[in-house]
Amino acid sequence: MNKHWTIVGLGLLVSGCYTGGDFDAAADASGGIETDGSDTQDDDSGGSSGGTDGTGEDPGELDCQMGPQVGEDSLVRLTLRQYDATVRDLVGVDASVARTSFSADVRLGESTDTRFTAGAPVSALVAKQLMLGAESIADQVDVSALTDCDGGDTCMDAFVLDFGRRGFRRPLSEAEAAVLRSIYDAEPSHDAGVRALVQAMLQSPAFLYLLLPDTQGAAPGEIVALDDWAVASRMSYFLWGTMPDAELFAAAQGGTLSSDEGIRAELARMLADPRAEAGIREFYDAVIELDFVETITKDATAYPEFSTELAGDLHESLWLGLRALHLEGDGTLASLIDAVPLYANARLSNYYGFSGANSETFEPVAELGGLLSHPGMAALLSKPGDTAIVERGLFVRGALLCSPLPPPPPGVEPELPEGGDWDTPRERLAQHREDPACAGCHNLIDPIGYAMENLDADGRTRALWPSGVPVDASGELLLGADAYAFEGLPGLESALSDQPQYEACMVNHWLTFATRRVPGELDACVVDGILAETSAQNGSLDALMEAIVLSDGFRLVQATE
Amino acid sequence: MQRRHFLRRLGAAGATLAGLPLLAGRAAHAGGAAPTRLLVWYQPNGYGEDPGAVHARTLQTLDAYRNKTLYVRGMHLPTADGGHEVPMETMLVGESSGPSFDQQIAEALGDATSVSTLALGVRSEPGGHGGHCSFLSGNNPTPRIERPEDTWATVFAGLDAEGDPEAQAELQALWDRRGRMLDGSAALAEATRDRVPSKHRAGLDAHVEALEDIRDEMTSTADTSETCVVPAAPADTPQGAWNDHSNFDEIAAGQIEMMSHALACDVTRVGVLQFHRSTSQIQFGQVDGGDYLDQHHALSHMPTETEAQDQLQQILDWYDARLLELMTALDSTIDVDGSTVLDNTIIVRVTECMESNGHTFSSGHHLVLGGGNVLQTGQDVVVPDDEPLWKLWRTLADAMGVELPSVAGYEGAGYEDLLA
Repeated sequence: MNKHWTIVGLGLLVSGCYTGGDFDAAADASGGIETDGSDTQDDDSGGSSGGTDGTGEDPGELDCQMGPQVGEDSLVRLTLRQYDATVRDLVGVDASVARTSFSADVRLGESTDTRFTAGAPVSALVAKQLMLGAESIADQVDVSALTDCDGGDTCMDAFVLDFGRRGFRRPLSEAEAAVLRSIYDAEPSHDAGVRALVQAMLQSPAFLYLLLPDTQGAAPGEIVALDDWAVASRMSYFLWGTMPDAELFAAAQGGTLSSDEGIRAELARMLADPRAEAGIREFYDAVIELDFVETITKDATAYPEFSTELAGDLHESLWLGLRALHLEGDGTLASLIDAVPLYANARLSNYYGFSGANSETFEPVAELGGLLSHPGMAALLSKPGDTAIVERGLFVRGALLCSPLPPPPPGVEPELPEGGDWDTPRERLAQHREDPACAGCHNLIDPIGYAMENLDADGRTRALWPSGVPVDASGELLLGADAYAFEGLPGLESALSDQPQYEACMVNHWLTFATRRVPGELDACVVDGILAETSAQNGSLDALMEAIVLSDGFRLVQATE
Repeated sequence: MQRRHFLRRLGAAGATLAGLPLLAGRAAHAGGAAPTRLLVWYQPNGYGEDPGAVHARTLQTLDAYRNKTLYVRGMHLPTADGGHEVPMETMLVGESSGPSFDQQIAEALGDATSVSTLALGVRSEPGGHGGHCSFLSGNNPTPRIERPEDTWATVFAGLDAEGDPEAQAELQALWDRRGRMLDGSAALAEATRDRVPSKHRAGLDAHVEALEDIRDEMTSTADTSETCVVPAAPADTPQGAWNDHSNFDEIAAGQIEMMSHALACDVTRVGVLQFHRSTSQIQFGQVDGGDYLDQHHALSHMPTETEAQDQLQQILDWYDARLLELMTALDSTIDVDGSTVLDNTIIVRVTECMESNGHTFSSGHHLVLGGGNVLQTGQDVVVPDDEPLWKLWRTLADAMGVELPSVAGYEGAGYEDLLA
């Protein structure tokens, strides 16, 4: 059987890097990428969990020739961002009510190492927040802009059907249309009736849940194709983070989203639309915590010139680079690692020594390297007053390789004592590897972190450690039985950029993001297929997007009881 | 800083708002019996390098309430793993799969109050791994309200219409409209239900139940008493990122005020007050108005740096001061049984580790504040370190008067000697 980049549970691999702890239990709880049949599993650095995703799926060895297999969807509510964006596009109120006043989203999976989220389950409190939010939004609606109907029966019937279709992202049933009409009719005026429709819509499950797959008539376990309306909705929330627009609805209405050609056409149009920025931004907020970059603060003594404004600039710079990678060039999975366009303004240029940007306007200044080379990432993955070798290594392991390390075993002192006889962070961290309880994991973490030691905690390049000793940024990337020695960050980028495990990790991330479903073992063939399609196009990000929306994992659902 | 203020009293006149959905005190005051409440107070990043010394200082701050304080030393957190996130997510859940013990109690209390749990956050909204301590069930955190004005709108809105016929009429119209909207939403859910596989209908059903809960709340009648004081609507909180520290003080003060009123009004009997999250990097303002202190979590890992330790102590002092404010608010309100609301409210302070730098949780320091009518307060107690923290949760469940086969997965007995 060929190697599967199977996602076990949550798309994560907890490496079994220490002994003595209940590793199996930890791994089962966290899941992991499993390369079944590969030669990388029987070593001491890349153990697989062997667990299931908690859904009871245990398909044994999947045969991808046996027809489509996809995992189960679940009831997923709009995230706060999606809610706000959908309200904006549905009723024209751009008030960020959800992000301001609703309870936080919840993680999609139990232990996912990224922050992919879904709306919190509707408890009494959440229901009340939805109620109050809907009231606030309804009060702000411009009724005349929402509908030119003045209350006549015929035009109101038409409005109810249209408004309901847009809000539910599918045609209404007769029963739903009747309920909506009765809500309107119960109010004393046309204005109040329309506002009531908005209020009721925003609290209704068909609006609040991303996908309510209609699998009536299908046997449990049967694989069912999503209808065009559901495909449209899934594409829209994946790529734009909001409801479909009129053209996408028209495509669904016309039945063109059942074909590859129809989906490709809409994909191209949607990626060319400015709304595509929202999807990309949300993805990177989840995977690399992009939104945290603007909140970075540094020790005022060690980095007196690092300011709030500079952190904001770093955030904008990194975002512009990622945006360009996806929307303006021929970005690839590899180029995320080794060639993210660098944007800067005068403030960033002055601080970091970039050349070519002399105003407040951001402009491309150079191709510094990949994601890890960006000063914003270096600063984010640092302590306020010092670099953070371990945290940097953990980030690469977790977010880029889907192979997070377990927490330290019980009884192990996680922090090295201050002081000691060492001149460099490398010497200090070497203590980790002298202790057998620490060595297993830190052999996997620390050498990756060394690669970034030429970037200080504020992201500036440095040649010397504070002790005056030249920075030694050499290390090795251990992946299963393989070791990839590198020199500095360019070397790590080179080692990472074409790693199948990195590529599979990103496919898993994107598929999770696209479907809001944590892939299970049954999705192994889907992941393999997306990976193969993307690799055939040299890892093109555009090809990745296309492979995802054309994949069985995106277009099919498993019927449940 | 916004200070606690009681502006209005909703006395007998409040109860005469016929047909209006007063939230407070639905069952609290029958026969003059006062309810017992539970409040989980979470503050992040542990207690510095010497939790014993930190608690000695806390007890000094809370000295006025020494006879209403139970200081328990000992026990360990069996799930502690040397980090922040896992202890954060398990310290109330125990070795069960959820819910957390506070939510077990809330569930056991049922619909005794209009809000089964009032969970309030102070800039705690991003959640994520290590972002929650209270759980309704596995991976389902108890939802929190993050802004005082939202807490007020959720809990107290409408109660301030007393004595104003126009406002009462508007309120009546609002609740009528809400009723129609809730009916409409429930009808839409029902109309959608057939499309949804039965496996997922439980989620929809929970949604509809939540709507019905609001309905129940609207139709409940209040028996408000002098205990219940309706706070004024707080000012809007300026927009800010989740880890924006500039309004932390104000949000904290507002949420503490809302919580104290909600407990006094018997809106809820289980509260959670979560300040930020584990590994919090919130920066606090200097007491003297100078520059902001350094980031909390970073400070907690500078055990040998004197200035950092001084700043860390200032942060711990800030939390102690807020705790004192809450206790003062509850103790200044006379409950229906003649004692104070504090005497009927068990406040338990939790954090995800004891020693901040080492992340240890092998020998605990725990403060249980208030609840003197059900607990033997006013004493320091030392219990074995090898006993699990869950034993304390069992004790508190017993004190709350709920019978549960296990608490946080723990089936053993609690510290019965601590019960009044």
